[in-house]
Amino acid sequence: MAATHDHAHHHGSYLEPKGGFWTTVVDWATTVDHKKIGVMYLVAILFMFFLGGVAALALRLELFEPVRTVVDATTGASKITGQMFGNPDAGGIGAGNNLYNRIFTLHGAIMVFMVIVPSIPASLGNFLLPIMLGAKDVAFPRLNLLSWYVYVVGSLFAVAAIILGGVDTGWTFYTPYSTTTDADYWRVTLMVLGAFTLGFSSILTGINFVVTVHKLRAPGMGWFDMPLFAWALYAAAIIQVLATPVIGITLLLLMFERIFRVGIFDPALGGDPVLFQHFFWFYSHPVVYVMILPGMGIISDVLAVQSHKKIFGYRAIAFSSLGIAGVSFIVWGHHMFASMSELASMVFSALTFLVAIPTAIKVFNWISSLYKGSIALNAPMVYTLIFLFTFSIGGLTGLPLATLSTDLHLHDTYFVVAHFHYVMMGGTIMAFMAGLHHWWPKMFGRMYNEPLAILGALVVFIGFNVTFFSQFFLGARGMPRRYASYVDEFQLLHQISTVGSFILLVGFLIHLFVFLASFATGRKAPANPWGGLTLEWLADSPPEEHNFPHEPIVTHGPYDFESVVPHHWDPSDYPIPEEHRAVASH
Amino acid sequence: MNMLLTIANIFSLDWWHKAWLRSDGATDLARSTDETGMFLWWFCAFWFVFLMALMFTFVARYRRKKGQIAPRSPSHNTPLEIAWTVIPTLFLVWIFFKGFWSYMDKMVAPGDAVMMDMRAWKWSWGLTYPNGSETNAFTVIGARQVPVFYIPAEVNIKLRLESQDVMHSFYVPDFRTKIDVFPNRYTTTWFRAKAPSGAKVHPRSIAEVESAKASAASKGGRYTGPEYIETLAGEPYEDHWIFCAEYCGDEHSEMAAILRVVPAPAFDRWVETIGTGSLSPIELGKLLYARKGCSQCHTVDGSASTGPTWKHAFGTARQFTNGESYSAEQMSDVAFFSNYARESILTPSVKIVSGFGNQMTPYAGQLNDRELNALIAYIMSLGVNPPPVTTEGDAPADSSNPNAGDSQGAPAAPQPQ
Amino acid sequence: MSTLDTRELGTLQRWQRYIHGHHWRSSAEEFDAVKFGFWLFLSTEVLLFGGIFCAYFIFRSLYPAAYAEGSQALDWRWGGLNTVILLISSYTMAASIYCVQKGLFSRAKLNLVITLLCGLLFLAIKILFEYTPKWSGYFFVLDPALSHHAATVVEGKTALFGLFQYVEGYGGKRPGSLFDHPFAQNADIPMWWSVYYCGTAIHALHVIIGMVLIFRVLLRVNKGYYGPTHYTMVEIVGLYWHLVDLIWIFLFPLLYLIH
Repeated sequence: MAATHDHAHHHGSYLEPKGGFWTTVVDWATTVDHKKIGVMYLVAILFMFFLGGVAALALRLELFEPVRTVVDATTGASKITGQMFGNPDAGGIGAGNNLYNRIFTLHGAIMVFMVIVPSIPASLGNFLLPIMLGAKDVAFPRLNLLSWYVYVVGSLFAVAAIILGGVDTGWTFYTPYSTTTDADYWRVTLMVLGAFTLGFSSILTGINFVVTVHKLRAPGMGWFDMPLFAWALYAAAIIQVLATPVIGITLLLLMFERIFRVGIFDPALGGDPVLFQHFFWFYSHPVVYVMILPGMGIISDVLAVQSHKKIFGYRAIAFSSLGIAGVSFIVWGHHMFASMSELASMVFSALTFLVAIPTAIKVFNWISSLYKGSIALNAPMVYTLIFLFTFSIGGLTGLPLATLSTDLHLHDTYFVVAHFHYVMMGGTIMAFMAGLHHWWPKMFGRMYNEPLAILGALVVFIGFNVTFFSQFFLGARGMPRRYASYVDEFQLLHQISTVGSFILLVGFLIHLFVFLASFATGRKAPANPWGGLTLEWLADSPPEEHNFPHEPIVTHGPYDFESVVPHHWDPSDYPIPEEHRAVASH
Repeated sequence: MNMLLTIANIFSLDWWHKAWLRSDGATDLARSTDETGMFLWWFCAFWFVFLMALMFTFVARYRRKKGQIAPRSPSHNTPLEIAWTVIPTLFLVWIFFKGFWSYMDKMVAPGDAVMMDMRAWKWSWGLTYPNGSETNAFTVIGARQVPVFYIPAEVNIKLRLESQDVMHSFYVPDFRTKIDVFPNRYTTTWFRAKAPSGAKVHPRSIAEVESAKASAASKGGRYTGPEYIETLAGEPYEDHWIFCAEYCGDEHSEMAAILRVVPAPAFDRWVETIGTGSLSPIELGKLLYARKGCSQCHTVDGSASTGPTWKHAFGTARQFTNGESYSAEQMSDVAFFSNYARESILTPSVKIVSGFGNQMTPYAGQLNDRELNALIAYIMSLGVNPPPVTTEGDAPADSSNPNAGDSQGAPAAPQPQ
Repeated sequence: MSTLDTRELGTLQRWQRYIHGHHWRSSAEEFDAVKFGFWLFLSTEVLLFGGIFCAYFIFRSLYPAAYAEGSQALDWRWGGLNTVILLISSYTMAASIYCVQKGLFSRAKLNLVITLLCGLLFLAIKILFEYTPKWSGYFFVLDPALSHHAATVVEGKTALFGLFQYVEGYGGKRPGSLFDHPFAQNADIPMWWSVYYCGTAIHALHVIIGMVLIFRVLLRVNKGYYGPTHYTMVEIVGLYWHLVDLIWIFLFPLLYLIH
């Protein structure tokens, strides 16, 4: 991909401090360097992930035992057992349940708004997109910094709401519950304001990425020479720009509803709660594709590089990303089959099946890309395989949910909870882990401990499946969601799920250790440890301040492994037959 | 050996059917949904296993070998790509229609369906039968008392649902259907429950119930079957859970009920006997205490809960959060206390007892005068000096019977002591 | 948009010294990209207001009588005047861009000042003559509509040093649960007022944001930041202002004219 690069003119890496401690702090706080902004996002997102994860562990602990009334055989006295939160003898089980409800709202709001939506685009996307395109920065570097601070402010609003006692509306804020609960407190409004603000951060990042992809590609890089990660970020950015304003107006109206009691969604004043659901899901469905598309982009890139093979069906994957982005706008009603008219349900069910097709095609393309590859089984690749496993389950379990007759049974049960965890966590987070390991050497200039990372991946895989596969059975057997307690029969499956969640914790702790250790004892990373062909492998590890000494010129495709020796690799390690060798290899 | 059998079972269709579904569907539409669901399961399982087998095979066969690069291989295969686009599309079209037709069957009730009104509120359910009466049977699930709604088997029943506050959702897992319930409009659902299998029958005598309770208590458990009901003695029944499936606040997980299917003639006999016309005010009050959800927050045995206990409320001085207070003398005056109780039931936020929050749903518009008077009479009967009762046979209730399974007419509150 | 003062550039204006961002190959590229990005942002504003219009149409179809009555309560003349004011301001905004492009700086500043004044006038009319009377019943003393209510004026009941005069039975036209109009014919009319206030208030908020941006542009034109070879921000703010005007052009007939 690069024709020339000059070894003499290398500047210091972006990580090199410019002076003393405070100088460095100010430098990072006022930076417009996309790499530093990406790293700051990464730290924030990982922190929020652990916060949301701890909330989830608290929930699973509570669900280990159902709440029961136990009768003492001798005295005939009855006692309530099984509630971890609160003290049922003092105030009934309502208070403990209320705490549970606040925690699951916290878990959902943090994970959706502060972790998964920004996860890949804001951290890996910010860092890598300009470098992959051969640019020095994103289109609007100062807007990028603004986007970061808006994320911080939004998160602070949300955290403030939590510290002040939290809200118990669920992350979906359905009315009229959200307009009437906690009526004397401002916490719901504060949490909604936080989500509203975070939406702005998302919009600004989206605008930045769309313009970057359009305007900042290096010479020689046409649309179909871009890495698939760039295509994925582009498609997700389009959704971010078009869908987020709708949640903006919805949350704004919801705030007005709480503060001024305007009555747009509150039926007591003439409003309509189903209208809220339509507005809410008009954004919240496309946003799940903002969550998954960048992950799919990572999988395409990691798979190609780690198998040293051209991805199967490049254009199909590129176009299916755009197709998924487009269709994502017309299927929102599938969250509302139990409350819409039959006609609307029919239309949305049919359209939802439509969006399954490009997704399935991608999975077929990826598996086909493994055929006759040269597959390195390292942590990025292991996570890619885990992704293919768990995301396929997530996608396939969408089918009974899209099917109207089965959805009437499964809606609002643990089946849905399991489905979306399989796609959001089994999809986005696994892809995020793959990408993080794949680009860790590039971002921080250090290799990580490979065997331990693979161990972490396997523990996460086992923990994840134990936690969430049991929940498919719970849902199919009738266990509704957002329940602080349940009937006795469901206990075994809940206990299995809780055990799994702690295995997950162990897996992530292993990863945390591996990443921190890489800073201390990881060996220095070469510029191109995996043998990739996209432009980021041309830059130093970690990259210099302006990414490249001078603008690279693109002369081959991003996955031309059969004809181009990877940058910085010894041709004797990479024996391309004479007749296939590309004319210009670096 | 058992282990081997279990493992072998994993390959049997039946094991998976039982794993996914607690029981066979309790209506014909539920069973057809199960067929669709199980078909989807096998279809998805097959293709998933196939894809993963391919994936693992490729990974194993094409491991990277040092000094060797990947052989040339196609990055396109148009016939294959067309096949794997068109075939899944055809399949999905088929499954969509299958799901759609069955869904329409579930949504559109037959013309001859008997209509009943179901109400939802935070956090319980209420069903009004066509003759205007409501159930008087209750049972305990988890930590709460819940209503038992008797339903005739093999009869098309249509429910018209509405909420009295926030959104709820009426979910019967065994019927494989649910419908959201709103405060600003009615929604409907219908079902035709299959006849009970006969595995469980109503007790034939009071003695049978007593001995069942004793044997359960001796094992440290609780009897959870029906009480003795004369009109249903010996009749088979089948219970199905009703769950609320739309998050609605603190006790969303406790907002359950039991749908109990009995043969139609037995149901017809029973529904005639549950009218409250013949109940004395205190009996009616006790029934309403359970049915209207008062038991969720108010105990009758003096123990603490979300709201003030009713035991000795009549006759004990009281302080309110707005600074006002009533003396014990005032609270012992029948007229004064009745006014206060009425105000607190209909518009509770006007006077909140110190130490409690402003959380009670107002009952304005939900109780007629007779019911209101009955509740007040019941509360007074729990007071320090209950007013004398004029009708013979009405014992002042001091009731909690925490050992009750089902109860009829004398609902018990499972409160901690 | 960095300006390097360190170079020896003598008496050159800031806009002449402008250096584009280092990641762009030319100023023209940067300008193109900024415009493209800003059109994307404008699309988000359109979608934001799209939600309001959606709510309007839905509630209009649910409560047609209430919407007809509510619309009657609005004075189309104030709305029409506001429309004309915004159209003029759009013209002067566009003129100011043209002036900057041609180097006519004092004319550009004049146009920007007129634009700001128009915005201020828009807000003043809205708050003084539309919101305040409807919300509270207090009319501004110079309001010509006061003469129509001579019969229900409550003599002596004034506010804010006598600047506002109370009229009986006019106020209380508020959204949702704040609604308190004693002579409302239609029980659903709070739904009209909710959409009216939410729509026009969010629009007014955007007018204020636009005015802040225009004021900043004015200050910077004054200091010579923008000129014939660099006028990106002026054009961008102009686009924003045109969108604010356009949204009002849609709001006005839907709220004031359709009965």
